[in-house]
Amino acid sequence: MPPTNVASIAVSVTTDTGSTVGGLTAGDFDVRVDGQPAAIQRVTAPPVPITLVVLFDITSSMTMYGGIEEEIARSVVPSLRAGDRARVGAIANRLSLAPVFSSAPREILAAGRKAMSVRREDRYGPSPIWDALKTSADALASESGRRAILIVTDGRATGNAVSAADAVDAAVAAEAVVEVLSENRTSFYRQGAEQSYVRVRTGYVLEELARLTGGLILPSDPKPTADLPPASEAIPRLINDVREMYSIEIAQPGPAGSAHRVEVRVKRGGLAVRARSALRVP
Amino acid sequence: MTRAACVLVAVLASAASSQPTFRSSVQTVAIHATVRDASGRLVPNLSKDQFSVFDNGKPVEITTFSNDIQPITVALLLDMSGSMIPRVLLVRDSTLKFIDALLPEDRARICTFGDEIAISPILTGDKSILTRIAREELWPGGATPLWGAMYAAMESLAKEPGRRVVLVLTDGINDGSLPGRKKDFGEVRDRAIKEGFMLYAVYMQGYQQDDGAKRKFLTLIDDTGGGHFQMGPEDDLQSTFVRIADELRRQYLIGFTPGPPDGREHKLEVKVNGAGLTVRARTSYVAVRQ
Repeated sequence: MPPTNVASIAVSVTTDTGSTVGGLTAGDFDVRVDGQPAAIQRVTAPPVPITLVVLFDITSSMTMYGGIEEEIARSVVPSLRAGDRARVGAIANRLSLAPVFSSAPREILAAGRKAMSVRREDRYGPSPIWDALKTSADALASESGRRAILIVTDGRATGNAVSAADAVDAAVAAEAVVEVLSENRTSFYRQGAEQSYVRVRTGYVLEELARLTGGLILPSDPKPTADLPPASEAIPRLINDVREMYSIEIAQPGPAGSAHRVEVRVKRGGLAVRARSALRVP
Repeated sequence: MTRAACVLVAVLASAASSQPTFRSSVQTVAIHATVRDASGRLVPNLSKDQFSVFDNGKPVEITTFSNDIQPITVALLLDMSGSMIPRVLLVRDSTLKFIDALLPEDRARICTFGDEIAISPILTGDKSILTRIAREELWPGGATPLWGAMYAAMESLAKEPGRRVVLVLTDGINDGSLPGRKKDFGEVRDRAIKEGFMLYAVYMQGYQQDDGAKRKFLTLIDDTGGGHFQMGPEDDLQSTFVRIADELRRQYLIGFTPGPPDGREHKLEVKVNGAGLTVRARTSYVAVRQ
């Protein structure tokens, strides 16, 4: 169980070419909670072992990646390092999640393939993406160390028992970094006879989810013509992104259940910093 | 089973404790009747003695009657096929209006069909939850697996007590099916009639107009005692949804005790006594053995 008196903030610090900046210490960071400086208790430099849930949306609308199931063997398992633990899940008309976290590649692969063996008809609705995210976040909440969810989805969520906000809140409360591979494109739907258009972004909530938890969404630019990166390149990048984040520990800023706004800066210039922007005290 | 087959020999029960509750140790045929005047306005507050019910042409005694406001249990089934893309905002806003018109004891479930058939697991009267679903879960695209979706929507209400309503908004008749969800019109009709579902349809002007299939579908809707509305480009979908909610709420509940169950179709006729009044109700039932 994570300690209840400490809040952990995962922070990515990279150069303009995307390389992780090593060697930073507590004195290099400026952490603010609700606008007020927060005392840093400890900084752990990357790489750190990760406890990861990988979710593949395999519903019928997921036309962006064919044969995504193959990425468990091709991308997920090869990206794990000693000390990492993972569970793989499939989102069809319900979440099928490997039963336990494992650090054994064969076990992860076998359990992942079993989770993916969903009947064809179960891929045709609904698509409870938010339920799956909340279940995954709840599963991570009792784990220690760096926790993360990697989700590959088009974001077309239907048939959920919980809301998108519930899923985001669960991920924030679990201190899980959420990494997203999604269409994240902008579409324009012409409406009625008035030639007016509505702007639709299927990745909007996912983008917020990544932002609030300190994760990365790919592609990062939601322009209409955004190219999807190959899954076999994006998934290792996203897993590595989680591992290559600093951990900054601060005292819990408020009573259980309270929500707070977090900002993290690095005192050196010219570096890109990404960290969770929300914190909920467990 | 032929098209006249409407039945239900049912034990009337109401889920809402503050609403009139009818429980009976004997089987009762439940009829929900809509009465309008010559100008099309709903007519509430008629009394039991203004109605007559005929079972295979023979008058029967009305044993249960209520003109109280009735709570709604409805699956709102929204066509999200690709052809609905130009109307997705209109559909969302109209759905929100429908939700807004619900009363505290009403319950609704939001369902969609297109790329997939998505039946919300939530049947609730909580407007904030329904609003959230309408805002988060409408994604257009795909074909029109109408029959599979209607069947699934009925399935989702099958265990609910009292009057069960499926209200479908679509711009077409069935076009395509999804794996594991293939149903034909006959299966939809049989289920609706045998289990006493009330069907409503709002038809938007669409690309696909199979008149024969549409006629059959609308006839089925009439047989269940429901209603259908054809929407032109200038018609107001939002007020149509509100009108349907109002109509459902103001239906008369009429019950009678049938003869011994014979497993056959019985023609059902409801008449109302009053100048210029017209009544709409289910047109048949099957006296199934419980």
